Order: sequence, then structure tokens, then C-alpha cells
Amino acid sequence: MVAKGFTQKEGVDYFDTYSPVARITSIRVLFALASIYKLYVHQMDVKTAFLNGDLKEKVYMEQPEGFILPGNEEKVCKLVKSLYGLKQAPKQWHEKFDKAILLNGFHHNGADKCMYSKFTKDFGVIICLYVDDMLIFNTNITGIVETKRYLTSIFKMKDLGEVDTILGIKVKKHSSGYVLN
Amino acid sequence: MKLNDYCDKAVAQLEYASAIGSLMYAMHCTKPGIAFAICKLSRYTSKPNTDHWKAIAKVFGYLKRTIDLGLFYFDFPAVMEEYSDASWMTSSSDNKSTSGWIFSLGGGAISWASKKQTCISHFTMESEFIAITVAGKEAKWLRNILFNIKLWPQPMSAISLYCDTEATMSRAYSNIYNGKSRHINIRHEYIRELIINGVITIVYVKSVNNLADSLTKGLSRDIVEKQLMEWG
Repeated sequence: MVAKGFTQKEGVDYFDTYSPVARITSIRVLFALASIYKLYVHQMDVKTAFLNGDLKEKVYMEQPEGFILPGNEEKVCKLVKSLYGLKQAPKQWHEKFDKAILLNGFHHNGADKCMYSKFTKDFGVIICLYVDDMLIFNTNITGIVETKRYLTSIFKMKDLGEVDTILGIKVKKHSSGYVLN
Repeated sequence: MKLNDYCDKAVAQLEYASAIGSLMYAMHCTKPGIAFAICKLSRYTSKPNTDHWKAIAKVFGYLKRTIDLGLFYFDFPAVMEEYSDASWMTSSSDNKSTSGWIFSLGGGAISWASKKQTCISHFTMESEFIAITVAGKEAKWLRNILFNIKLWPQPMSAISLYCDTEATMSRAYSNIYNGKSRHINIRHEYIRELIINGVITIVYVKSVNNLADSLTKGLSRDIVEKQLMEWG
């Protein structure tokens, strides 16, 4: 189901639609670092990411086809959470993820808003978010397990295991580092 | 290959734009080798002719030949290097220069670009200077990103920036300012600030060893292949 975002009016139904994504250079920097410091790189995917966002604006939509309440055909639905197709969906999703991850003790990287890092005395984790795809760089296995557990407790996640393809770039591991192709 | 923008009517303009788009994606992801070609070909997007299409076909042929080449990163000691270059007056129609830079970390390239400069420079030295400035901005950004990742040894050492013109180097390290170079004054100040703050140091490298050379001009095949090996 997709909401009719094109009927939304700026300043009424949405204000800001900007949503950052990671720079591709940052991803390459992280892979170079992963080779130097022998980090584990895992990949995760958020299922129906945009449905997670909360809406601040009051947005109403017609009842979806097939789900019309008998006797209430004239009424409309007020949206509480964001839907695919809404102009602000990407922004709301990013905001939601941002809040959740900062609560867990992660910090923004000042240079790229989509890179988060957390260093404890046992492990170091770097997360790189590209809309709903994320790369998790870790110094050891406990870091991976802990981060994945936290993320799956908040969002519906798909664990893709060790990284294979990101943004159409094939990633291969060789004896002393990574190859991007 | 010499390209001119004169043509009676555009040949398959829409397809040309989409071909440029897909090549651009490959270039941004893992293929720095085609950066200069794309930089040049994309200038004709509004009115391509058959010559431009032939050039596009060549680029696709090159990609097909080098399909197995990727960016290799190794567990080398953590040193970041930067090569910057400019070629003076390469754009025949408007006398502007092209700048190019490439950063490498762990033996593989991490950031690169090839761009036509926006202002006219009078000497090679000036065009190199403009190239160093844009590369310097990127250096500062990369430093910031690494600064926030606690793996990198602190305090961070300066990024060595290789350039192949000695005049540019001596200029960067001198604080003399004369009125003749007013148009690059801000860039001069910026580079000096980066050097003083320990963000970059400028090192001389011979032109043949400058990895950014092929980002600024078309080169013969053997030189390009040698550089590709160095890029990883």
C-alpha cells in the first residue's frame, strides 16, 4: 500500500523532507579501515523501514480500498505512523533510527551524519546507514552480537550475515583485506 | 580523442544522458579510471553527436576489459596519502584547466575526483594550486571522519599531499602575497592554514609517479594501466 504523497501540500501536510544518506566515500574509508584493523563487517536490512517513522503533522487519508468500514464510508483515517509514499517518510524514518541508536550510547560522526560509532572497553562498533541498509563494523564478535540484539529489539530486522553486496558494489574478503568490485 | 561540440542535431540525447548516468555510478563506486573520460563526455549531454557516442562505446569497452579489477584494501600500516594534479588549459574552447585528486588508504583508493576548474588560471602553478585547494578540503573532511573513529592513532599525523610542480610547493609554504595573484588569494590563505594546522604537508613527486595524472588528461594505455595497479 502506498499513500498518495503527491496530493500533499507543503507547509500543511509536510514541512521538511530532507533525509541524509551516507557518502559513498565514507563507505570506502570504512572498508579500508576494516582491512587495516581487521574488523568484522556484517550487513543488516530493516524490514519496511519507512513504516517505523512517527508523524508529527496531522495527515488524513481516505480509507483504503477493501478496508472500508460499512456504515462509515464518509470518514477518513488519521495517520499516526508514516506510510510509503508520504513526502516526509524518509525523514521520519531517519529521525526515528537516529534517536534509537543514540539512546544505545552511539555517537554521531561529525563529518557524516549517517555514521554512528560506539567504543566501550570490550569492543568498538561503527554503523553506517544507507536508508534501510546498514553496515556494521566491529572489532570483535561480542560487539556484533550485542548490537544486533539491540537493533532487533527495536526494529524488524533482516540479518544478512557477512557483507556481500552494498549499493551494487560486490564485497569480497581476501587474506589481508577487502576488495570492492 | 578530440571532441568538438559542433553538430547539427542531437543524436539520441535521452539515451546519452542515461548512459552518462550509469557510467557516473560506476565511476563513483569503484572505477576511478574513467573519471576523466566521464568528466569530459558529460559536458556534451545536452547535444551529443556520433563522435561522442563512439567515445561512450570506448568507455564501456574499457569497463568490460577491466571488469575483474576492483579496489583492493590491505592491512598496511594506517597511512593516508593524497595525490593531486592539474592540467593547464585542457579545455580547448574556454581555456579552463582540469583538476584531479585521489586519496589512498590501506593500499586502495578511497576518494577521487576529476573536475573542470571554474576560474581561469594564468600559469600551471596557479591551476595546480586550485587543484590542491579542493583536495585540501577533502583532506580536511577525511580527517574529521577519522578523528571520530577511535581506531585511528591519535594525534593524527598530517596527510602527505603529493604534487608535481615545485613552484606550487614553494608558493604554498611562503607567506608572501603580491597583488598579481589576487584571484587565488583565498586559496593561498586556505592552503597555508591547512599546513599550519598540520592537516596536510605538501611533498614533491615526479609527474610520472603522480597517481592523479590520468584524472586530468588523457594518457597512453600503458601509463594508465600502471596507475591502475597503484590505485589497487
